[in-house]
Amino acid sequence: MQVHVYNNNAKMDQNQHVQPAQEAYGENQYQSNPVTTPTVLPTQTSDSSLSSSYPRQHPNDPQLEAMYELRQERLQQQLNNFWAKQCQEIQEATDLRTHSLPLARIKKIMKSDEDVKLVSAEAPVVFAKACEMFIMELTLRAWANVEEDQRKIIKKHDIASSISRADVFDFLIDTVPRPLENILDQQGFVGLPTSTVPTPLNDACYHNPPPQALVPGNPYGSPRIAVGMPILDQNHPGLQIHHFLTPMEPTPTPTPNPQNPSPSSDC
Amino acid sequence: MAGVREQDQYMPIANVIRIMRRILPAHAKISDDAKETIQECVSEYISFITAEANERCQREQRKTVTAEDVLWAMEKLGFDNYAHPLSLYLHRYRKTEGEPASARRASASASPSMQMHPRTHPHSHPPNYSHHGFGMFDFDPSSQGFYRDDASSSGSGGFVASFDPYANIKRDPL
Repeated sequence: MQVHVYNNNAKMDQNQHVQPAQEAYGENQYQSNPVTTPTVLPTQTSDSSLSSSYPRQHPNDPQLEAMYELRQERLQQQLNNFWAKQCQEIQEATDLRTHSLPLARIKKIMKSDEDVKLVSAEAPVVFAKACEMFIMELTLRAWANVEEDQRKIIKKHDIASSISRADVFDFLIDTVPRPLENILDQQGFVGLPTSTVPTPLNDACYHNPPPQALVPGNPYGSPRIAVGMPILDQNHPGLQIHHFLTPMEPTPTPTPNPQNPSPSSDC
Repeated sequence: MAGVREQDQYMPIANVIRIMRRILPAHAKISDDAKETIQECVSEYISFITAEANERCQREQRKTVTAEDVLWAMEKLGFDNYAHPLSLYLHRYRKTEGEPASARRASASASPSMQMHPRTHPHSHPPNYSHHGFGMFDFDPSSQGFYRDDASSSGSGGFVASFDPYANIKRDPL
């Protein structure tokens, strides 16, 4: 089950939580076309299908639904623009022998695995470009998190939150476990294993499953009082923690989701 | 990673910060723990992809992890968005190579200095230099570090002080 840390009101909470649905399918980001206008286009089948396939916590609140849709669309558009720009930059690059990351260091990390015997000269070159894009993608996702909270400083938990929302980053769960571990500890989930086996559909639903269905004292709709986060304080006790329960199975027959949510699109 | 020196486990933080800033608005700030987290994520990413690429090599009874293996592993592990621009990148990179061996050597030597402007390879080839950039150095025990390729690496770029070459590029204080 998803566990999130927030320092703002309930509106943000739901949108933060539901967002993983957008990133449950890595291929969608590649297949989608960039949105050419700032208006949200509800006719995009893949996005609508993606949205409706993920169960929502509060289908009766159309305002929260609309806000969630808008933010999901915005991040997806930013990612699509990012990838299109990467292809364009590579197409137009004039100096392909200057690398933004040191090749020797990349090779050393590759060979830190004793099973790796030899590494061709081109492999670190490809990794240099791949890591550059990887850093920018993580930063872009983390920044979207920062903006939703109306802050201006990226903190570790922004990266942790972004990573937890896309299956493709499952391999990083052990690399940035602290925020989740702290949250889980406070929820009484000490000792819970932090790794999960990926499944083909809606892996996000199975991340760090809780041992029991209900979390006493943490109902949605009664968030704790927000305390301003001091800069660089990763473990401030004032952080609000919300634990959202989701069904363990995705909606079997997702339907297109219009811009104005209707009852038929609710899970 | 037993025996690996701390500063060699991660990408230089100045490079990481510079790349992060390219995608961020000017008013954005990055906390120190976020910078370190990205460093750790990048190393984990390299190890994750490399392990998958190496498995394919072993299945096919090959010893050298190639760029194609890396691209294949990325697609297999869900990084489809990366595979397309990187294929384009690799294709263009190869087209810009003149003499293959010297170009590969030049790209390797460029990394210790990490200067952003183009520069020519300052060293001649060592004796018995191999076409693939590997040779006897790959199989000789080396006193310069924990990896067989350290000798080849130091021969290519004078990479003696393990961290000094990066000190002069810390030009982006927060």
